[in-house]
Amino acid sequence: MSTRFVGSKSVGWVAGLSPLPAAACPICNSVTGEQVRAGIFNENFWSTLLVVASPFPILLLAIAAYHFGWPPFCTSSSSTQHKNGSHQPSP
Amino acid sequence: MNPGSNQKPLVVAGTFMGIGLGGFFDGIVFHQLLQTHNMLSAKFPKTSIANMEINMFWDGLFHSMTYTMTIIGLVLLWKCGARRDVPWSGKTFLGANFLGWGLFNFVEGIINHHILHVHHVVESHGQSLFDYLFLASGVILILGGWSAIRSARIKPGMPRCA
Repeated sequence: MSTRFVGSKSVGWVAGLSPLPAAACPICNSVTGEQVRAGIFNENFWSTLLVVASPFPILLLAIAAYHFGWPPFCTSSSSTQHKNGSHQPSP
Repeated sequence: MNPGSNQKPLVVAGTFMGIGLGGFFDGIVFHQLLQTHNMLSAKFPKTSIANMEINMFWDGLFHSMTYTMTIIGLVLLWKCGARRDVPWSGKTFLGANFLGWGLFNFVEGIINHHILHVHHVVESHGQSLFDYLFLASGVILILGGWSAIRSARIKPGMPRCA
């Protein structure tokens, strides 16, 4: 088997792997690719990004509240202070 | 501070990792293996290749965020390893992971399934019992994780590596 034959066969095999199915990606130059781009990068992009990201700021706030403690206006004095006025340590 | 007495940094690291890994669990199990929903499957039903690709893009962005949370958790865990005041407690860390996973399920469930309705656990059913079971799983994981953290509470003066 010559090197040339192996080379042309490999090129054909690789080319055979990349037909239509891959043409649906957001960066593909195809009709479906354009539909995908239009569905993502439109006037709603930033609001959709905000929606997708929305749980994370809340989760970060929950961790921050645990780590740094709740802001003073969120805590009642009776639940966090001993009789002598010292703060009860959080776990 | 006494050696092995400060549990908080390990809980924070574990919670970050739990949030990240909980997000990956959701993505792998529900989005990819069972394919019961995708990130915006209520807005873009999986009825065409284009809609599936759009969902895949937003799934990817969502997973980028869970990936970031996992990396933050890993960095914080690494820093905990170098601190003498932080107890190296597996029970605390596991509990914090469950706490983070539960927080993820609860917060993501409330926001995405019940307030914004961008998707539901089983999209073909719309808002259903599965959405409430998802929330319940969050509450159970939070309580279980918190209970493990509390029971592993380290007393001052305990050895650094427990």
